[in-house]
Amino acid sequence: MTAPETIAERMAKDVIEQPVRHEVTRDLWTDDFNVNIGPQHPSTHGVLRLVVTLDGEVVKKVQPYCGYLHRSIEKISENRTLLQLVCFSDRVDYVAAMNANLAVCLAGEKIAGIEVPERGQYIRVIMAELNRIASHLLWFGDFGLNLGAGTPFFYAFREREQVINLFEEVCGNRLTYNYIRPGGVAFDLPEKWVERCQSFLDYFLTKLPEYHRLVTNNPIFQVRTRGIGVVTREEALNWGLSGPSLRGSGVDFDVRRDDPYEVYANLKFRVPLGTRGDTFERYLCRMMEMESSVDIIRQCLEKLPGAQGGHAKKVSMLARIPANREVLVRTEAPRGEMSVYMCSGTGGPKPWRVKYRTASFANLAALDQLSRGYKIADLMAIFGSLDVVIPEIDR
Amino acid sequence: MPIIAELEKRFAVTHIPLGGVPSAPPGQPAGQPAPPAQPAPQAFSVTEPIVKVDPKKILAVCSFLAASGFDYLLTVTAADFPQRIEVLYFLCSMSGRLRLELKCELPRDKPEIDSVSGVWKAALYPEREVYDLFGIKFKGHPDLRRIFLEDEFEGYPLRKDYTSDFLVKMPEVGFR
Amino acid sequence: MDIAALLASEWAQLALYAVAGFVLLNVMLGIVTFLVLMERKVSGWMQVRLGPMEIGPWGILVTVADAIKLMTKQDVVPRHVDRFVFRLAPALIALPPLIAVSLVPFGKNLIFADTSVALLLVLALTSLTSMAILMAGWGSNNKYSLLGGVRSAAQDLSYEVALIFAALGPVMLAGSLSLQDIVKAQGGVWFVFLQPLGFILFLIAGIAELNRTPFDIPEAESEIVAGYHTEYSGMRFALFFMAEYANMFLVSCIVATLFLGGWQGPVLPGVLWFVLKVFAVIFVIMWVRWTFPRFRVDQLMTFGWKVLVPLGLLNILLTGGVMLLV
Repeated sequence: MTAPETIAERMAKDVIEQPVRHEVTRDLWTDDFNVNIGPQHPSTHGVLRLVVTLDGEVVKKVQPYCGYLHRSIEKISENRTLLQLVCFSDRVDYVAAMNANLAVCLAGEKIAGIEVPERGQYIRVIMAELNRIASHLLWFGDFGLNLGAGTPFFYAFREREQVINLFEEVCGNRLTYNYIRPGGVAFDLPEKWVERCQSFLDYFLTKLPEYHRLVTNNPIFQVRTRGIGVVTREEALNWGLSGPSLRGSGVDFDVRRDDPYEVYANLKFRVPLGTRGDTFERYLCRMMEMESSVDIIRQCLEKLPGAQGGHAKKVSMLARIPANREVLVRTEAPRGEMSVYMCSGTGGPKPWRVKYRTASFANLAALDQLSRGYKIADLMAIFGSLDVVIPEIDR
Repeated sequence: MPIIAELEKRFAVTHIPLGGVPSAPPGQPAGQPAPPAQPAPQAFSVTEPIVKVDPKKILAVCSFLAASGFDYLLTVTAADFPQRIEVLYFLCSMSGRLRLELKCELPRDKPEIDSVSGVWKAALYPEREVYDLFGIKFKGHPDLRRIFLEDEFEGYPLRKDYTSDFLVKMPEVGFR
Repeated sequence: MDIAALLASEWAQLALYAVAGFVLLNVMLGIVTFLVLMERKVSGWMQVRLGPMEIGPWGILVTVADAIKLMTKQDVVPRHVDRFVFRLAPALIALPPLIAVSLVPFGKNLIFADTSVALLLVLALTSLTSMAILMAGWGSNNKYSLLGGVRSAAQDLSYEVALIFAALGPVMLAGSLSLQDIVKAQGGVWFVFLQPLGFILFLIAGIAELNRTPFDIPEAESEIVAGYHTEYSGMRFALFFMAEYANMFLVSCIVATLFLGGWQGPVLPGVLWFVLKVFAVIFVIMWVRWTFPRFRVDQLMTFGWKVLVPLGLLNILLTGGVMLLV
C-alpha cells in the first residue's frame, strides 16, 4: 500500500483545470472558482459529488465524482444463480425495480432458453408500466423541488402511494419487489386486483391535468426550462443518451416499439417525441409517457389471459445456462435504455459475467457538455431533467 | 448483414453469426483422412451477430462503422476468461435498427487497446469503468482514471483472480 | 398629589409610551408566533397533508416548541467571523419591522405614532433589512454566505424602486404620506379598485422584498449555497426567522393600509376589519410561496428592472393623468 497522501497532494492530482484568470484591466481580474456540490445534497438525487467550475454565475465545467454507492453488484452476480440475481437487480435501480427485474429475467431466460407463459408476460408488462408511472411521479416531484416548487412533490407522492399499495398487494414489497422471476412472476394477481388497478388508472388520469396546470403552464417554470440544456440530435446519439432524454432531442427510438420484448409487439401505444432537445421537451416527454403507460396497462388488463393459461413455469432453482452463450437484452426502463449483458463461459447454474448497462450512467456522462455555458441554477434543472438516479450509475 | 461482409473484406474480421456456427456433421466416411481437430467451440450470442476484431484494428473498424450508420454505442464492457480478457463493444444503428457486437481478445498480462472515445463520446465513461474494474488501459482516452473505486485502490476487482481479505467464500447452493 | 397633573407630566407620558410600546412588542411577538404556525398549517393543507398535529391540540403549540428548541441550543460563533458584524446582524434585522409596525393604523384611534411622513419612514426602515442581510453575509466569513448576502442586497435594491413607485399611487390619491390619512381617504372606495395595477405591483415587489419564493434565491438556495444565515444557530437564527415573519406581517399591513382600506369597513369594529384584511394578504403571500418555483437570479433582476419599474412609472403617469382630468 502506498503511503497515504495529504489532502493537498490529492487535490493537486485531481484533474480540475487550473483557475482561469479573466483580466478586466491590468490591476483588476476575476478568477474562476470551484464549487463542490455534494455528496450529501438535497438536489443530487442521492450521493453524487459534482465539482463545478464557475466563472461568476456561468458554468465552465462540471466534473462528477461517482462511486459512493458502488456495491459491486456485477461481481456478486457472478456467484449467484439466475433466481438469486433478481433481488440484486432491484437494487440496481430501486426507483423502478420492476423494470430492472424484468431486464435481468429476460436476459436469464434468453440465455437459458426458458419460455414464459402468456399470462406471465402480460402481468410483467403491467408491472413494468405501473412502475414507470411511479418512477416518473417521483422524478416529477424531485424536479419541482430542484426548481424551488415545494408542492408538486406531495401531489406526486399521493399518486405514487397508490401505485405502491397496488404493488404491496401483489408481492408484499413497496420498493424492491423481487417479483418478476425467470420463467414468469412470483405470485399470481390477488383477487380483485385488476379492478383496483383500473380504478387507479381512471383516478390518475384526472390528476394529470392538475400537474399540467400547476407546473407545466406556470410561466416561471417555462422560463426556467425552455431553451436550457439543449442537445442536438447528433450529439444525443453520440453521447449514448436514451429514453426521454434522447426522444426530447428528436430521435424517434423506443425499445418497446422498435426492438420489442415480451408482449409489446401486440400493444399499440404512443411514444412522445420532442423537437428542440431542451429541458422543457424532456420534461414534457416524461409527462406524456405517463399517459401512454396508462394506455398500455389498460390494453394489457383487457387482454390478460385467464389463470388457466398458467402464470409461471416451474423453473428449477438451479436452471442451467448452456456453455458459450452470450446475450444482450435491451429494455426501456423509465430512465432510458437498460440493457443486461450476460455470458455463460463454461455453463452451469451461475452466469460467468453480468453487466448492467444503465441509462443514468450514460446520461451522467453528458451532463458536463450539456450544462456548459448555462448558469449554476440551470445546472440543477438540467440534472433533474436527465432523471439520473445514483444506484444506476454506481451499481 | 451486408456491413459485416464489408468488414470481413476490409479488416479481416471473424464473424460469428446470430445463433452460432452450425457444428460439423458427425461421422466420417471410411477411408477419408481424419478431419483436423475441431477448434474449441466459440461463444455466440443469441441476440446479435458478433464480429471478432484484432485489437490493433479496433479504431479503424469503429471509425468505419460510425461512418456507415452505426451511430449509437450502447456500452463498452469486458469479460475475464482464463487465457484472455475480452473487450466488448455493443453498437446499434438507430435508423436501420441494426445491432452488432464487436469483440476483441486481449492477453491477460498486457491488456491494452485503443480508445474509441474519439468516435463515440458514449465510450468515455464505460472505458473508465473497464479500466477501473479490469485494468485494461485505453490508449488515447482523455481522462483515464478510476471511476468507482478510490484512486489508490490496488487490484482490479472484476478479474477472476482478484483476491482480497474482504471476499468470503459462499456456501454452494444445494438441491432441495 | 394632583393625579391629572401627574398624568400630564412628561415622565408619565414617557412611561405610558413605554408601556404601550412593550404591549405592542408583545403583540408583535405573539403574531409572529401565530404566523409560523399558520405557515406550517397552510403549507400542509396545500400539500395534501395536515401539517403539525402532535404538539398541542391540532398542533397549535408547535411554535412554542420551536422557540424553546432554538433558545436552548448552543450558541456557536465560528472562529474567523467578523465578531462585531456577525453579532449585530441578527439584532439589526429583527428591529425594523418591529419599529415600523408602530406607524401602522390598526383602528380609527388605534395608532401608536401618527406622523405625517409615516409611509416614508416605513419604506426607509424596510431598507435597513437589506443592510442587515448584507452584514450577515459579510460577517459570516463564508464565500457562500457572502454570495447569498450580495444577491439578496441586489434583489432588495431593485425591488425597492418598484415598491416605491407602486406606493406612490395611493399617496397621490390621498394627498398625504401619513398612513392614517391614506386610510381615511378610503372611506368611499378602497384604492385597490382605483389602482389595480399598483396593488399587484406592490404585492409582487413586497414579496420580493421579503425574500420569499418565487424570489427566494438568497435564502433557499438548494442549488449551492445555504444562504446568508447559514452560520447562525440557536437564538441568532431564531431572530432571522422571526424577522422574516415580522416583515411579512408588516408588508401585509402596508398593503392593507394602502390599498384595502385599512380599518375601514361597515358594521364590525375597525380593528377586526384590519386583522381580516391583513391575514387575507398573508394567506395570499403564503399561497404564492407554495405554488411557484423560484426565479433564476438574472431572470429575477430582469423582471424587477425591465417589467416592474416601467409598469410602476406607467401607473404613476396614469394616476396623475386621470387625477388631472377628473
